[in-house]
Amino acid sequence: MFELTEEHKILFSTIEKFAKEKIAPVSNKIDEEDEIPREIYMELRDMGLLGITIPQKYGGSEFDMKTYAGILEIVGKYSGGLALSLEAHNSLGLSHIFEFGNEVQRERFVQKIINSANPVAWGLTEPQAGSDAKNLLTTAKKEGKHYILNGSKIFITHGVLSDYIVIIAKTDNGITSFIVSGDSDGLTKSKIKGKLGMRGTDTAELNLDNVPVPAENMLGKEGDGYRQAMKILDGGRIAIAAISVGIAQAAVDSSLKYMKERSAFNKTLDNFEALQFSISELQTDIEAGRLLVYKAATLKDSGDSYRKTAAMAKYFTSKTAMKAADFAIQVHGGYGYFSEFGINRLLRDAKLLEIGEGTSEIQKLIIFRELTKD
Amino acid sequence: MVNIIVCIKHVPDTETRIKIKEDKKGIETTGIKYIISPYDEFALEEAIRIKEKHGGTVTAITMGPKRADDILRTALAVGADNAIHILSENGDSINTVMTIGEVIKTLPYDIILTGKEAVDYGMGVFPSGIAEYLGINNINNVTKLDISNRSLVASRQVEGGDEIVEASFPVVISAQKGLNTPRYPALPNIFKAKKREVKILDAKSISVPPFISGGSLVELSLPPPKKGAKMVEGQTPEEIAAKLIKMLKEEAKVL
Ligand SMILES: Cc1cc2nc3c(=O)[nH]c(=O)nc-3n(C[C@H](O)[C@H](O)[C@H](O)COP(=O)(O)OP(=O)(O)OC[C@H]3O[C@@H](n4cnc5c(N)ncnc54)[C@H](O)[C@@H]3O)c2cc1C
Repeated sequence: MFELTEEHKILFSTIEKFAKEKIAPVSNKIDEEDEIPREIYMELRDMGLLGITIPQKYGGSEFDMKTYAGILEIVGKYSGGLALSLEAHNSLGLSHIFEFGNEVQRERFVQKIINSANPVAWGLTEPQAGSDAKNLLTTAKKEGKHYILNGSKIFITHGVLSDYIVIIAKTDNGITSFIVSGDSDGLTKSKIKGKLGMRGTDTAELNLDNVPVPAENMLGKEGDGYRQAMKILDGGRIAIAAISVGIAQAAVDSSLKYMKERSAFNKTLDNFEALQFSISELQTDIEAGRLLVYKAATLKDSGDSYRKTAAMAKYFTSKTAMKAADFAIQVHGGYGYFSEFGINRLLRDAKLLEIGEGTSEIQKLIIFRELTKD
Repeated sequence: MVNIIVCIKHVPDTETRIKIKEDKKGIETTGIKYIISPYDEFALEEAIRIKEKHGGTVTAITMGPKRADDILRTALAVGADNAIHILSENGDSINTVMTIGEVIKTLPYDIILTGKEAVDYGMGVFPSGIAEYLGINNINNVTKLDISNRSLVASRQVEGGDEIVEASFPVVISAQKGLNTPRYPALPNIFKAKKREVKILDAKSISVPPFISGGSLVELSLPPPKKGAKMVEGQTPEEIAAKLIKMLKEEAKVL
């Protein structure tokens, strides 16, 4: 059902090569220093990874969702932090501007963002509004040719690095989204320190104090922002799920490799049935999860409704990633517990997948709602 | 305008675990991942750079089975203009040199770039073989190349230093590690490359002069498994270091 074409095979092996040569050597450093080297963004841009699903007309690579998912899975195997950065850039900020922007906005922002190699940010979450995303306090008041924004946003990926941020705020007629310039007057951006995993992605707190935003930077209509944001999150979940599959696969691959090398009781670990069973179970979950990701991506590519499948994919694969990463530490014993071997990073990275872009509980609410709607 | 030909080969990934066939005359090819031979990758990158700087065309040629199409697509994706696939299931070095040589004779060429050796059999016969067959200049193991006015200056690695060699066109250059850092193709170009034409020739239909192969393959064998690492024991770092130096001098004889 999901046969790869020749060009997909070449494409994925090119990404794998890039990941091995350029990402693997720095993935521990990205984690330790909580920073992605600038050159990596430039290389990602040159390869066409900063506009993966955007049409070529606007400077993108014009790949479908399945290809995008395959790319993120591979990057996720080598660095969760880098994969999340690519995901937040492509699926959230850039997709939002492209999908809901008018022709003028597309022309003005999309190509520029892709070429700048500065990832774009997307700000929905607020200190009091996470799962309960309608409970926003950030306001946008129309004053002449501008909207004036006030409020604060938290946990915003690329909040510090980005030249542009999509901000979702309350207007008189409901919730509305805007493209906000990163150097706007009244905008303060600060890095949030002490992140457990997915390090390297810049996660920031934003304070908006009378930030003027030109009215022509509004995306779509006033009052349409919440619906837009929920659609963006649906797509983002497929991508988060793809990263989850990558992290889970990295956990199983490294475990299996280690089991073949490490001896206890005069046997290598791969001789112990208890461990063999764990590998078999985890790999089965990974492959089932990968099919869910491809199913959701295929539905999106063909224009069918994919909200339920995307939520299922994210819920299931993030849980699988946690299980696989937990096993990987266990099977590596003491060596797994230390950062040097890159194993404990898998668990720390995986945890975000159960939280970002809707917690697992929220995914289950969505699945139930989709199952029971008529 | 420089006419550049780059000869590349599809070889098993250097990370592949090789299994030898029962007849000991070949390797099991199922499940093997193939890549462009790393030295050929330097050659390809250099070809593209020369074209970008001096203008001209790059024609990538490979001789090999159908699966080798992949590397021609990659070559087109990074900037080659033309691609020629000489279909062949196997060919020893001399036959490969002459077959590719016959194809090159039909094309305009100033510089022929290739890797210093293919990392599968590691024969290293091809670069000088092709230069000899075509009767043209040849510089091997090149780590730096400057083109000017229908000639070039190459730096090549020799024991203990570099040798600077000048040659006029046409010339065969074999690439050594260090020549450049190959780029990754822009991914959309991989899809575009799929739609481009690769000229396909059948090796059997290319006539080469009669020849007697210099040797024939007797058998292949795997290297013996690596012996375990030797731990240098001791109480203090000074003691361990002293022991290690002694071992390097007396046992390994590398100091
Ligand atoms: C590293 C990182 C990057 C992020 N990047 C971005 C970004 O770029 N842009 C952005 O807008 N946001 C971003 N977020 C925010 C993220 O989407 C939220 O953290 C997430 O949606 C959860 O919201 P919350 O933290 O407020 O938790 P809460 O909503 O307060 O949830 C707390 C707990 O209560 C549970 N819960 C809540 N409601 C229910 C319910 N009805 N039933 C059962 N359980 C429930 C939740 O599942 C959770 O376990 C990021 C977060 C992190 C950690």
